[in-house]
Formats: sequence, structure tokens, C-alpha cells
Amino acid sequence: MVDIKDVKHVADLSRLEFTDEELSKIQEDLSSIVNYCSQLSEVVATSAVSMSGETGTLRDDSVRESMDKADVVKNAPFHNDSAFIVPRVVE
Amino acid sequence: MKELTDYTLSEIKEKLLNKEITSVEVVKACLQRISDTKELNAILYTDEDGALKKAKIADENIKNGKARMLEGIPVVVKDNISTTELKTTCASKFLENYTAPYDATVVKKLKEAGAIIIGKANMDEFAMGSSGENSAYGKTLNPINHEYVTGGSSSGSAACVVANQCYASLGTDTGGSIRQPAGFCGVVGIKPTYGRVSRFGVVAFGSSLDQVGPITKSVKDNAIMLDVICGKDENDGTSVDRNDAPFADCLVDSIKGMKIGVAKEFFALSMDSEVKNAIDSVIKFYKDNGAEIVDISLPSIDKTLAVYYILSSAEAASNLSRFDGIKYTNRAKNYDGLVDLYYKSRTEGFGSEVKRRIMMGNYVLSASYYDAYYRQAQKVQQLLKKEFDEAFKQVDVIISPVSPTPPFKFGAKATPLEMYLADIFTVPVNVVGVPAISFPVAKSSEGMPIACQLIAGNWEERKLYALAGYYENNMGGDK
Repeated sequence: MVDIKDVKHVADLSRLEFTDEELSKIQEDLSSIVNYCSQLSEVVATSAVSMSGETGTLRDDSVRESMDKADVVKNAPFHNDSAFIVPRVVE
Repeated sequence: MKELTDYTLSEIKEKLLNKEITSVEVVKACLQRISDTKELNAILYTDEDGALKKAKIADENIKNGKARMLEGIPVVVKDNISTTELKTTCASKFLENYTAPYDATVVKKLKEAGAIIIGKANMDEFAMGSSGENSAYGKTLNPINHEYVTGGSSSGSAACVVANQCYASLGTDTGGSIRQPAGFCGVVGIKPTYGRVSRFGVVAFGSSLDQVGPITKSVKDNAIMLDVICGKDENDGTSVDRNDAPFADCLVDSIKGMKIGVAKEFFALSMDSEVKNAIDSVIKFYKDNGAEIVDISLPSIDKTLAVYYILSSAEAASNLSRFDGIKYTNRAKNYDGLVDLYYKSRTEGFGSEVKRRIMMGNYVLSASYYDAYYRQAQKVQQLLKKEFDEAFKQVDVIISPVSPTPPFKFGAKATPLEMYLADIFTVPVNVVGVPAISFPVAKSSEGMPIACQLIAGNWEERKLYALAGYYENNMGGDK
């Protein structure tokens, strides 16, 4: 069984809130999935290489048109035409 | 008397080019059909005005001899693929009011080919699910029998095609999300080779696993659609430059000498007897028609689901970190400071399956567990790739079921793990990166479709189309 302390810690990392009942259910779900995945420890495997065999290419490091700022911010719940509006962060 | 909406994409394309019908009539027929069957909840919203305007332009183009590959043909796109003219919600409350400021590359390609995107398809939230039950906007009903799930996560994309609401759709596939719903709905779906199709503008779930692919009424239609959407894109560094011949030319009159691999470990995985019998019949069909059936081995195949859930959850947890209540529509109304804003917005915005996967992902990525789970999963992934590479030295394709059971009813899977186990045949394909096709081959005793999966080596989609197309032409599919 995954430790409830670990579940709470992961919930914080995930920025998710759970009621005590939900936390208990998540602990159960997580435990059963993690338990299932533990079978991998039986496998003797040595190398880990990244997925894409062909490495991504980079474009030239040159300035070019990206997107209109107004378009970029338009979906935010609070914005002026060129920036997202957020709660005060710095005291 | 056949309705306009009953035709395949290839058939309607011919009728349009022969000027037997107009694109306006075809678009109106599809929109009417969507309205008449709206209880399916396959399409979240349509663009009626935009579609009709484009249909008029398409009719002009056809009249002037300027018809492009998909001129005037109505298609639907899964709601995790960015479109500027329609919302992109990923079937989540989090993106309830989100309209993308740019079109995904696959959408751009469809438009450049003259296709008309008439609506966005329902799905499991953020592409996480195998039934269509995880949408924040209600489940999608299987058009063949409303008591059954469509499969997922491209639930609406599969349903809208079999329900004749459009002639083709795009879905995405991270662990089977095109192939399994296509299988449950009796239509054709392909997950192309990783890197074949651009992911630019597709809301990311598992970036090393996701691919966009078409869902269609026939194998030929599927090949035409893949020809349109594939290709290197400078906006997607994982897309690859290929010079493969058009897939539409890959259908064959003979499959003599093609080698079909049967992996004993694959068939040792638990499956319903009706599914086993259906696949055995397909193997016999291919053998009777000149293909060679070869016994192969994939020793680590039973570990794939665990590898998949670790890698996909980890990537999902990272990809979904961007949903913070700041940039994308929904923000919690009541919060106390910035950090609390994040907690409240994410807790309110995400459904339970999404939360479960984020938790799983961050668990396996957290410091104490990274080596035991994530690193180990990557190592086993490499082992699986080697095993598949070895197999493809001996055979052209590998055959398997798509799903271990025929389609199930709503609420049938009692636990998350039970639902995940439904993906055992589809996930190896994404983990290894190779292409695979799902096509209908039988009906269950309850009248629901059973599909067959063929898996090919990297870049060998043509072999999938050849074999699946041959089956369809000679057996009439089994719709």
C-alpha cells in the first residue's frame, strides 16, 4: 500500500486538493496501479535511450514573427491586450 | 435508397467530382444527420455557417477544375486538436471556453486539401480513457447499440464516422485511442509510425507516444486521409522527412508471400473466446490466400502495459502542469494567493481520471521513486523495441486482437486497473513507436463489432493498408 504521506506529498506536487475520503480512494487506486507496475523490477534490462531515434532538428537562432500578443492572451480569464493578469506575487 | 451520408469518402469524392451532387448538399446532409442523431453526443459543437460558406467555395473550385484531394468533403476533428474556427476543449471543464489562436498542422493540411471541418468530436478528457465515459460533457453512445461504450479516448471520432455524421475523422492515439474505439464502432483506424504526422497544435498527453491518425469507413479512405495529413513539419521536431509512395496506391490484388507473425506471448494474454475465434479466422483467411503464417516471440510483451502506464502518466503529469488557471480560460473564483489559485483551479477543472494519472505520473517521477519506476520503464521500453525489431526481420506484420473483449456496456469496468487492462494489445505499439491498423472482422454474439489489429515495422504503413485492404475487399469487412 502506498504510504498516505507519499500520497499527500504527490498531491502537493500536483497542486491538487483532495478530501480525506478522496485521498483514501486515490491511495487505493495508486497502490493497485503501482503494485501492478512493480513487476517491471523483475526484468533485467540495461540501456535507456530516448524515444525518438532521429534527434530533433533546431531551426536557425534568428528573430522572426511569432504571434500577435492579443491572440496569445485572449483565452486567459484576466488579461489586458498584451499580458496575463495574475494575483500579486511580490510583497 | 442510399442516403448521401451512407457513402464512403471515396464514393462521395467521385460524386462531387462528377458533379452529381454539390458540396453544399453534402454538408447540409451531414449537419442534418448530426442533428437527427444528436443523442449519440459524438459531436460537441458544429460550425454550420462556416461549413456552408466553405462548401460554396468548394463547389466553385470543382466547377473550375481546381478540386483538391478532399475538396468539399465534410470531416470531423477530435476536440484535442487545435482549430481557430471552433473551440478546443479536450472534453474538459478546464478548457470550456478555449479557442486556439492557431490551427494544428493537421488541420491546416485538411483545409489546404479542401476538406470542410464541420465539427469537433467528443472524447475522454485530455485523451485519458478507453471508453468515452470520462468526458466532462457527457459520454458518447455507441451508434450500433446505445447501451455499449464507443471505446476511447477518440470516442466521438469513431462514433461520428460509423453514424454517418461525416466521411472521416481525425483521432489521436497514445495507447490505443484511435484503434480501440474504431474497433468498438466497426470502422477503420490507424496509428501511424511515431513521427509520421505532426503533433503541432495537438494538446499533448504523452509526447513520446501521441500520434494523430484518421478514422474512416474503409481502408481506402483511411489511406487517402493519411496521405493528406502526414509529413515533416518544422514546428514539430519529432516529425520525420519521408519519401514514401502515396498510401492510396498501397492496396493490392494479391498478398502471396506476405509474412504474418503470430506471437505466442501475445496470444497467451487473456482474451475472450469470441475474440480469439475471430482472429483465428482472419489468420486462416490470410493463410488460405497465400500469406505465410510465422511463429514469432515477443518475450517481454506482458510487461508493456506497466511500461506504458508509467511513461504516459509521467509525461501527462508534466504536460498538464501548464493548466494553472492563469493562461487557459478557467480560473477558480475563490482563492487565497497564487499557490491556492493553482490548487483550486486544477482541483475544480480536472476530472477524476485526469487527476489519477497526474498523481501516478508525479509519483513515479518523484525523487525516491524515479529510478525504480520511470528509469526502469525506459529500460524495458528499449528491450521491447529490440524484440519488435527482431520480429520484423522475420515477418511483414504482426497480428493480434485490438481489444481482449468485444465492446462492453457503460459502467462495466469497476476499477481503474480493470479499464487499463483493456489496452493490453494496443499499448505495445505506442511504446515501441511502430504503426498499427484496426479494422472490423466479426460481430460478437451480442451483435457488436470485433476488430483485428495488424502491426508493422517503422514506416511500413503500406503493408498494413495492403493486408487490411485485401481483407476488406474479399470479405466485405464485417460491419
